[in-house]
Amino acid sequence: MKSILIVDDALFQRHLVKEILQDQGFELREAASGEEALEKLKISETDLVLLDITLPGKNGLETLEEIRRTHPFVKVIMVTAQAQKGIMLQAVKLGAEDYLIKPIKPDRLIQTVRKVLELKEN
Amino acid sequence: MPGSSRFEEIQEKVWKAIVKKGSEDTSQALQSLLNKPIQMTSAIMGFLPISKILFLTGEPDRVVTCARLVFSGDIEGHMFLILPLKSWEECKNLLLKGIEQPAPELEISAFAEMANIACSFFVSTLANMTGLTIHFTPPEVLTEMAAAVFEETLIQLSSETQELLTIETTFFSQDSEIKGFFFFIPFPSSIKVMTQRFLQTTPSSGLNWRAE
Repeated sequence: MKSILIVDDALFQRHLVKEILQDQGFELREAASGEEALEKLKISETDLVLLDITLPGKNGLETLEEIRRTHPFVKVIMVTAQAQKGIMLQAVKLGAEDYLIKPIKPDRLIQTVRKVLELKEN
Repeated sequence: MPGSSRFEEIQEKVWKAIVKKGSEDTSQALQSLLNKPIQMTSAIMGFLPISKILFLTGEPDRVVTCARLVFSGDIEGHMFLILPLKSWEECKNLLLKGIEQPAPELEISAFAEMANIACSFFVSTLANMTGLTIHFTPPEVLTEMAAAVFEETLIQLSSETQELLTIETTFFSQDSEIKGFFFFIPFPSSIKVMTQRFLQTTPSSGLNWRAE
């Protein structure tokens, strides 16, 4: 079973994402900050991180940089309401596989997660 | 100063273009989040004396639910999403539909996320039209008297200026009680930066700006 770590400081957003993905056959875990996400990556195997950009403390882009350094094979999809071209470009340069714009459409989330996880299997 | 009024005239046109697009994008985002048709009134934009800011949502002693976001990067300022309590109850029912007795922290988080999405769309439009990079903090949610929600912004800026540029839009849904206010308040030093950058990145605006 593929394991997904949902990283968002907003409890509501984590709830929404879990609602959408819970019937899709994934193991779902949560973290409310970049720091917590990095701790969870150390202790349990993770295939994919859904990573919010606006986080308190270490922001999403800084967390992405750290994940790339410490867990280069973990896939990362950035999730943000900030559809700024500059920020999106920076995320891709730092190694994000894809990004999703909030409010997330359920079909788009499932499709993107599946696409990115299949990339790993190839 | 002869150049000054021309600059202000251009600045106003620039802002109207940004605000129109930003408001359209924000209303689409709210519509998608609430799964309900949401309209926004034409944005009201202008310089307001600091003393009038407290009256922006009507009576200053009315209790409202508010999210405040601080933005920084190439420009700095504050944004607010403010809902009267009745309106927040309606939004809450839509956002948390299907959840029996949601925990208070989930309700607060739902409001913060609504503010995050509405403000992000406005800021993204501004950033994409100007080429500016703008970051902001996670929303801080308050249930307070309307005047109190602006207090911190005013304390921070009162030594710097006596009037502030405010952009105000009201959004509403025709078949419900939903009504709210969105405010974008850039710090005085950021206004010229935004105008100059918009004119540099959007030559098709048909406006000319010459450095003073």
